Amino acid sequence: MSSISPKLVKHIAKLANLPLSAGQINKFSSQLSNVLDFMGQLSKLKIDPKKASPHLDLTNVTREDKIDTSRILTQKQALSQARKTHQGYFLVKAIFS
Amino acid sequence: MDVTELTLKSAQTGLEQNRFTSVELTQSYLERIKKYNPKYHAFVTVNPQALVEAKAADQLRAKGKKLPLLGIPLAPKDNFLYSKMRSTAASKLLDNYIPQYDSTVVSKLKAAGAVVIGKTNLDFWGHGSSGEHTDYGIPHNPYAFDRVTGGSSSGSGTAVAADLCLMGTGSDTGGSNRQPGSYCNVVGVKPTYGRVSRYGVIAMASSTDSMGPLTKTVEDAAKFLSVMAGHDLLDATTVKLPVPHYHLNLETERKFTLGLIAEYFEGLDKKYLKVIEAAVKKLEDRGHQVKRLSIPAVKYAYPMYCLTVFAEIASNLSRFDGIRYGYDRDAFGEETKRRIMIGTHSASSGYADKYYNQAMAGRKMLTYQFKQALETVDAFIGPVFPFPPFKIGERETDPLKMYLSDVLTVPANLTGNPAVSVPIEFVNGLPNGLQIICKHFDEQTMFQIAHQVEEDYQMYKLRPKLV
Repeated sequence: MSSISPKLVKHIAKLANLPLSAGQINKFSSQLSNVLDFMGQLSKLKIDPKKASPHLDLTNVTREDKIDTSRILTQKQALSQARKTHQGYFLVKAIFS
Repeated sequence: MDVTELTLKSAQTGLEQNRFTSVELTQSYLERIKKYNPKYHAFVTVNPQALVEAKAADQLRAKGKKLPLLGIPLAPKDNFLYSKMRSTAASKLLDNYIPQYDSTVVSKLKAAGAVVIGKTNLDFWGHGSSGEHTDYGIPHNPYAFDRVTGGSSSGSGTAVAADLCLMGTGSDTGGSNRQPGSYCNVVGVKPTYGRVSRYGVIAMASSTDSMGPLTKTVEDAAKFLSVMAGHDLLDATTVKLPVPHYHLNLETERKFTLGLIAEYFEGLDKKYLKVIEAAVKKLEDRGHQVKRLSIPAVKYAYPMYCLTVFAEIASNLSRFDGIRYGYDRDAFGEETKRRIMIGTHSASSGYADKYYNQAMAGRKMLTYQFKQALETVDAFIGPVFPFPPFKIGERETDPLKMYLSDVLTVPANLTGNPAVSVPIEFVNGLPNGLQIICKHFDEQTMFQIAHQVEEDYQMYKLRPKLV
């Protein structure tokens, strides 16, 4: 049993920066236990590293460290979808009180 | 004949011969959208500038301009960014989001002369296989109003089947183009990972997201893909292989070896088995050979998918903080929250070895086994869904049951292979597709086989009776 207790649900929600209601915490506790117990069957699969290959033979793609001006958003464009801005910046909650 | 029933080829002929204009064609679709969209919820947003775009296409044509999709009204799924319209990914979190740039796919479609008629509905962020997880009204199946459409490209499936647009785009992360293809009696394509750029499509799982077409016919899909595909500097996983004109090479004398993977048929409903076997028989009658195979890792494909893809979901959606765009994270729907939670747990300290790392190792084994098997056959043939389109609301209460709808489509996403759902005989009076999976970047063979299946069944001739 991988039982996901309400306490663990709260911990995961904190890691995921996800606000959950009390109802959701209880609901997720049982649903996540159910799902993860099922997924746990994967531990039965014996892994043979000699018989494994990546899904595509890709190599790293690099480019010159140069600014491509055609891709740059203007400050106005970058801010256009923010709900709160201040003097040309994104406005965020204060970290220090 | 109603122009909205035309295939791409016949619509293009009509436009070229001046039998109708793009404005007239677009207007016909807009009238149907106005009539049916309030009930069917195929579109999240209809483009108020669609007729302006159509007029511009007509003007280009009058000047003698030739473009592959000139004046063709089509609909990107609402997670493909198009800077002239809002892109919601069907989540209220992005209700007012107007992108500052276009996705590569939409840029290519616009450069090819297409008219964006609207943006189609989906399971928000791509999270679902039924179409029911959306903040913009659940799409209804054109062939059975009280049933689901398949997801997550639910709106594109509905819109194409109901003649609300000529073609739609979709993003297939775990089956999202093939599933609505199967349930809506249209063709749904998942190209090889790396064939089509992911740039500007709101990411679900970066290692499996594959953008592709939903269309009425295989030929339409083949032509549409040849426009969408290609190398893109803005997506480093796209490859530099040339893009064939798939649609010009659909006829072939080749005799294929077709693989039936035992694990795809285990526990399959008898009615489904019968219909799939009949389709295979028709292919045999054409002189193709059938070979029976086993790919043991397929049995574990769903857990591999869930534990890796959900971790990528958690990571990709961490950017939505309500600061630079959109609303706060409490605007995520419950299914999205569930997936973020599972994914976060799967990759978190103390659990990653059991879940995420084991799933990644398993994925590599599955890929290896697919590769080995595809050295002995040209394609795998099998079902898309393990059961027919269910009633809206029927499975929603049990997330695990819902997730397992994806069991037959996720393997090709994990391995990166191209796959298509092509319509065959209905089961219980409801649409059903045949899945064809091919070697990496061998979309040509996939379309050739699909084209023959389509010739055998000609399901595109059916029209749903809309309510």
